[in-house]
Amino acid sequence: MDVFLQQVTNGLVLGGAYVLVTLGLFMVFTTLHLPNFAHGEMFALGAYLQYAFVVTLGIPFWIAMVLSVVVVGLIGWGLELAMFRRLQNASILAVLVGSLALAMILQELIALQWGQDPLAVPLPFSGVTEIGPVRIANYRLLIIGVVVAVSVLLGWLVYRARFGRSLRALAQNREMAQLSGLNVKQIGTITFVLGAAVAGLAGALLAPTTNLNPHMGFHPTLVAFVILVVAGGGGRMATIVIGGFTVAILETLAAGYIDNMARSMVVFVALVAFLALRPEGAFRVASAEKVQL
Amino acid sequence: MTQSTSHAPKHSAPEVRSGADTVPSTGIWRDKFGLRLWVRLVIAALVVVATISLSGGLNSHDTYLYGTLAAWALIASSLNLVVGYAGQLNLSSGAFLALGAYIGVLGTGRYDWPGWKSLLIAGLIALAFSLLLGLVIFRARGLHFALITAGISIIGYNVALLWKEKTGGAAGISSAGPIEEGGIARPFVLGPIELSQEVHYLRAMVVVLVVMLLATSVLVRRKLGLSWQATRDDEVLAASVGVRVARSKRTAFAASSVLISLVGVLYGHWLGFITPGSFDFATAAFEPLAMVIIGGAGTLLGPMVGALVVVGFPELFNGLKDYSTLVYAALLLLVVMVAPKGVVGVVESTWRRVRRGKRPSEQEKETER
Repeated sequence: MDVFLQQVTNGLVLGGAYVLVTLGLFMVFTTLHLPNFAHGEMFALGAYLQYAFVVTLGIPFWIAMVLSVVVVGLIGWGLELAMFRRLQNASILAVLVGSLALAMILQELIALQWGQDPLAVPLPFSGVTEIGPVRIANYRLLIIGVVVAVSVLLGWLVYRARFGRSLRALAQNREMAQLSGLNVKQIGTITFVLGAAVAGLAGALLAPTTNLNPHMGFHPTLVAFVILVVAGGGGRMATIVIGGFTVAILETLAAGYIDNMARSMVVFVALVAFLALRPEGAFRVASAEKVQL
Repeated sequence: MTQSTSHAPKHSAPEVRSGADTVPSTGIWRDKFGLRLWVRLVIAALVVVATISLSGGLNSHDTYLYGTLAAWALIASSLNLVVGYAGQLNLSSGAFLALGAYIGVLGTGRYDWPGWKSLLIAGLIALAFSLLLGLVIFRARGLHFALITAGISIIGYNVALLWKEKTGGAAGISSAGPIEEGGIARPFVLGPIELSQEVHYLRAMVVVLVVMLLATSVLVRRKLGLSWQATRDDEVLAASVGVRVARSKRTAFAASSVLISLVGVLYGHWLGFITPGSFDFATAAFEPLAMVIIGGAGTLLGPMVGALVVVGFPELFNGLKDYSTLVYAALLLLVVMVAPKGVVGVVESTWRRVRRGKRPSEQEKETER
């Protein structure tokens, strides 16, 4: 039982990455209807920039984190202007293939810059907290706290703030939103940059807890899409948060009890089973093609 | 990709509806558009003769290079059936390629099966899997379909890693049989044909490729192939003229998956030694898709052009080797953004424009017909 609880706790840390990546993708996908397969690369970039700032340049950890998030946001802005804006009216297949290609390009660029070998970022502080039978590093505890805080902040932004209202208007009907005087281009850009920055934050935050490798962003992307599919039309942001943590816990348990390599299969076996048992979750066009905020 | 890539749909609608009335049904000789069948047969024969007579003089590096090209052209052409003609963004090719390759290598290396048996078993298992999966995966479309098929490839890769007693795990297996017997790669034996040297594989793959392309060229002019293209161009319209959309998607998926597995048997033997690394998502699922789309989805030559671009360029320009993935991914992005019909589409439309410039009336007549 103790081992089980420990596994669940470890899963929560990994879940933090999934939650942040998925929340960003959720916002981009629902408002702009862009299935961006390169979204996870923002996560990878966040982690690698954190490495560059902390290890290579020796900047203090927390300042480096702010820098990483800002730089990833700027990269997201550049990509939105150069590529995704042009793909706005393209077919969904074109966006899929194009963003997959972009993901490969970013992975290759990361590999060229930092090499294929795994890299590590040192923890900013050490120390372990014991909660009942579970031991958790303070930094990991902080990750879970930050993830929950950022989720709440994003939830407030989307469902309570004025910006969120225009965002949801855009998600529901782009033409009507434009006719009512919203600057849809600007809102789209802000959403995209915000999504990228949140993924970058996840990368920078998680960097000290994992090995960095150029392909580290791909699996979170797939997980994020699976969560979006399963959340379906009725999905709100709370569903995404719960989904992210659930997937991560399942993966950690599979790694602990079956085989470490079984971890990346779990989510797809679950997806195939889900579509076989509950096709309505992803079947109806209204919920399948676009998720509503 | 979703738009019609040729003038095929114009013909598909009447043909599916009333068959014999509008287009004289002449069985396999039905070749009302494109090159006549005898022209295609002559080209095929020329290619085969040229390959067999010229391949003997190649040095080992060139033989390997052309072998690689032929192997990937085969894989991409098989994938083209479901991606190009039926319009389904299928990323599951990695799993089926791995299935075929592992069965082939195990069959020859461990169980001493004759080549035919490996091919038969790989084909049957792939058929069973693709039919079963076909029941589930076509509940999803667009993004969800791409996602679920990507999942299949990733599951395949992980099974290859985890099922150590059969696949050898990350260390891989070879067709060479037990080490005690010397570990010399065993030939792939198909009745009287025995493939042992690199150049044999090259010839075999070119012959298979030619046969596959001929069969595809016939198939896409017949009812089944036309129903795939109708499904790709407009599902609702296709269903309304009596095409069984779900069935045509499933047949395309099954045909493509079985072919990829059979190619996998050959590919595994050609490699001789396989590890799960040869079948990861980027190599075995994304690369063939990139080939199909760069070359031109839904065209016969497209996948071959794509294979040439993706595999050939880095070999031709040696300095590019480290950047090969970067280069083809960038090309793919470029194609998606500026030329959705791929290289073949660009060439075709340029050619058409040139011809229209010369003889406008002739061109008009031909499209009318």
